[in-house]
Amino acid sequence: MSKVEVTTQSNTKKIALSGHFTAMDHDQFRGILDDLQSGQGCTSCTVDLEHLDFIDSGGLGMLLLLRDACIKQKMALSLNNAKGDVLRILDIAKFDQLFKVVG
Amino acid sequence: MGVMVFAFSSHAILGSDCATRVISALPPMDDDTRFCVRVCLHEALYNAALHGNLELMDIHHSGITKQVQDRLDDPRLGSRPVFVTCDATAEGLSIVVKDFGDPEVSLPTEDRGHGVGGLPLIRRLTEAMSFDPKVKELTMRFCWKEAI
Repeated sequence: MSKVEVTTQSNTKKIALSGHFTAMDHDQFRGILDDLQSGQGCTSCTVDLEHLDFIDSGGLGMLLLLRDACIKQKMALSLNNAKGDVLRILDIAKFDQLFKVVG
Repeated sequence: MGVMVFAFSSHAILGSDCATRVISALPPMDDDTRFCVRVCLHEALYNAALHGNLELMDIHHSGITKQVQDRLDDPRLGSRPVFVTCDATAEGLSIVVKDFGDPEVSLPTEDRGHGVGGLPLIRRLTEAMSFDPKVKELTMRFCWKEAI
């Protein structure tokens, strides 16, 4: 399972994922989505993937749910620091067409 | 080279990295093939455990962790194994993942939008793939990118 850390700096919500982000992390991640949708004055959200080793289709699906939540809250969203297998899976899923992917 | 068969419980699949365990027993392969096999095997194993043996159709909802645990604890569902049969030849690698779910309960084949879903990913990363719902077997074929 993935370790998920959420911090808020200024108006930016930062979500840091590490380990393996899979379908089994849904309940943990759902809490973050609910928190976002409650609205706390943030104008942007970044997902830091630097320490993420693996993501599966379940994890990709949760990033899509996050994207939907950010669009609803009018928050900018970016996926940051993906590398290795994670970056390759994002490429295969063509997430660069859906997200701002920052190296 | 040759045929290798692995058996995993759904509990092991959902709680550990069984895909990497299988790959470590296979002949050495190039990095590109290893990546494809790892991603596809992970997706196939999760599909077999969640949608096959545990008969969960929708996994993107609140309370899924408890629902999975309840089904793992159900002797009828939780005791079903997943078999992985790997056949490595000079030309490539064939992997068959078989679950023991109810054949009448169909595997979700639609993606979650934007081409994101286990089967669409497998389709993109294999030379060929097919699923036989009657015998609950997913067959994936990979070609070696470099000679082994």
